[in-house]
Amino acid sequence: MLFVLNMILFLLGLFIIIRESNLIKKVIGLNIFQSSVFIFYLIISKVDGGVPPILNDDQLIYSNPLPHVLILTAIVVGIATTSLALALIIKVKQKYNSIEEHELDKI
Amino acid sequence: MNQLPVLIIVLPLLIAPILLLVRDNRHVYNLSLGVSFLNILLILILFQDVYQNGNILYELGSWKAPIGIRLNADLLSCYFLLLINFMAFICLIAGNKTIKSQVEDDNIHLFYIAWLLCNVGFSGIVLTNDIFNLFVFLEISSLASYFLISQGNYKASSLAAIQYLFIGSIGAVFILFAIGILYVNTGTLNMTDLSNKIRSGSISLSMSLSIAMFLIGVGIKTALFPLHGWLIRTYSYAPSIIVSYFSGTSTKIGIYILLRVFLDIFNSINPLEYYNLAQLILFLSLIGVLLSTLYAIKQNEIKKMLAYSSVAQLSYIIIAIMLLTPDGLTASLIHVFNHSIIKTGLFLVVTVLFINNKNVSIGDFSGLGEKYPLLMSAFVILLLGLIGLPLTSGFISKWYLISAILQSDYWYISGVILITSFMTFFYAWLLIEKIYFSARLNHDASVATSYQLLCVYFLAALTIYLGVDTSLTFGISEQISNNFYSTINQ
Repeated sequence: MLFVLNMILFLLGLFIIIRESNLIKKVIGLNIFQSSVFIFYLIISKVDGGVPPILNDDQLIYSNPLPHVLILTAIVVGIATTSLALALIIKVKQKYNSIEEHELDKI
Repeated sequence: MNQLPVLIIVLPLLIAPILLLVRDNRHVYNLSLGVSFLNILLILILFQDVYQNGNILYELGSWKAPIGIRLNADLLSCYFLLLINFMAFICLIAGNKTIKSQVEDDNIHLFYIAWLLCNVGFSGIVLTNDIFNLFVFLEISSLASYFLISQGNYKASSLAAIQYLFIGSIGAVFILFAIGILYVNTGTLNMTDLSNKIRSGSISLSMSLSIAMFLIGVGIKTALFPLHGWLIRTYSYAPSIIVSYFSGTSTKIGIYILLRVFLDIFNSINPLEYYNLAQLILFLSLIGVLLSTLYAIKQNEIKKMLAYSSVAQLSYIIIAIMLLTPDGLTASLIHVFNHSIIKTGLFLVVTVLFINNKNVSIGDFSGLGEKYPLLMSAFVILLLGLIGLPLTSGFISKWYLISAILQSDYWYISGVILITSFMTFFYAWLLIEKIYFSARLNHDASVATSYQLLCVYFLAALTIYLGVDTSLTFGISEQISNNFYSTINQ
């Protein structure tokens, strides 16, 4: 069930990037798109009844920490991408005075 | 333990933030040139070592392989590593003057830093043996390249950069998803470990999803037809020196990932054959070759023409891989090297001649043969290499490509290759005619400095040299493809 919801989020993000003409909305779509994959990594790392992997004598079942670490890296990459995209959008706006893609293509 | 693989990545990565403190454009340029020269020396030593003693493994922080991250320098990595860093070095030498006139003054030191980071990303991709690491390096190089593209002096440069950012990020996220699915199925991220754990019996639905997502991600990176739109836009609006650099490296990295994922990680299930993916990609590429060559003839703007020709040449490389024979792989690897040299050389001529980087049309070349006889003869040699006439390296790649095709099941494709070669001859002839048989226009082609010209002559000489002596390209490519196919057949 979770995977299905996740796939819906994934396709939704992709749809927004392709369909939207406003560049800011496209960035939002890109964020949703990326987040869906981050959530996918979190889903797969969860173990039923698992606790955070902190060394402790009583608990033996813990969630897989590796995907969390991987996603931490991927989130950083995502932030960098978003900020670079926003910076580029500012430059586009300065040059064209518009951020609607269908208007930009005409100029 | 041999420290070379990690040095090649870490050295420029350390220098890049230091350059941020230096700020002075001249010093930044000299330092980045120095670093890339040092890198080439290190790579040559590494290459020789790998060639003689087999692949070198380097465990980062001495954490053992499946748990820690490992670098793996094998012959394939070294081949691409040499190509990429050599192109970076040549373009850095040739680019100094054009960067000064095209990039804003305040941004020049940032430009070189981004260039170094981009190159670190490329080197990292080819050296790493950890598939998640590959994604991280891919993003490092992509983020740097979005910045580099946005620095062009066209109005549309930032727009081209942001459009490339969207499509590039989509590709990267697809690859990230595919890596996640692989991890669920195998519980490892190490490539060697992955290829051991993926066995023929274990093709599940999720594994096919992973393969499909890899294909989309890699297809975007390699500008596989019909995912090639970004390449035309970015090549038209980026700073011209960056176009020369990317034409030899960025898409070739896509080819590397394609080889690494589909022929190395998935070698025991061989998805290209299993799902008939090879046939699909082959026919897509065939359409790609035909259409992009047609478009190249139609273009009046030289950078767009060369960009379309790049798509066509990349399709040749992909066609050769998709034959799924050792000969095909050899041909593709030879063409990767030769095409990089030829196309970088062609773009460099445009860069060197037209420093202001405004839309350069074919007409701007009229009568230049008279004005710059030596530079134009180098240009013509490179063009002949692109067509694939004898005595140039293009002929060698076409020769191996066609003989590989004739020996495979798809012999009829060779007709398409021949037809498109003639079409290439047609648009190359348009240029040659303008250069030598047209009256001189009052154009603004400028005189380049001597070391820039030297780079172009060097690449043209290399085109002829590789067309005569094929021991470097053919010898090593053959060895790589034999290694690959001996593991597949086991």
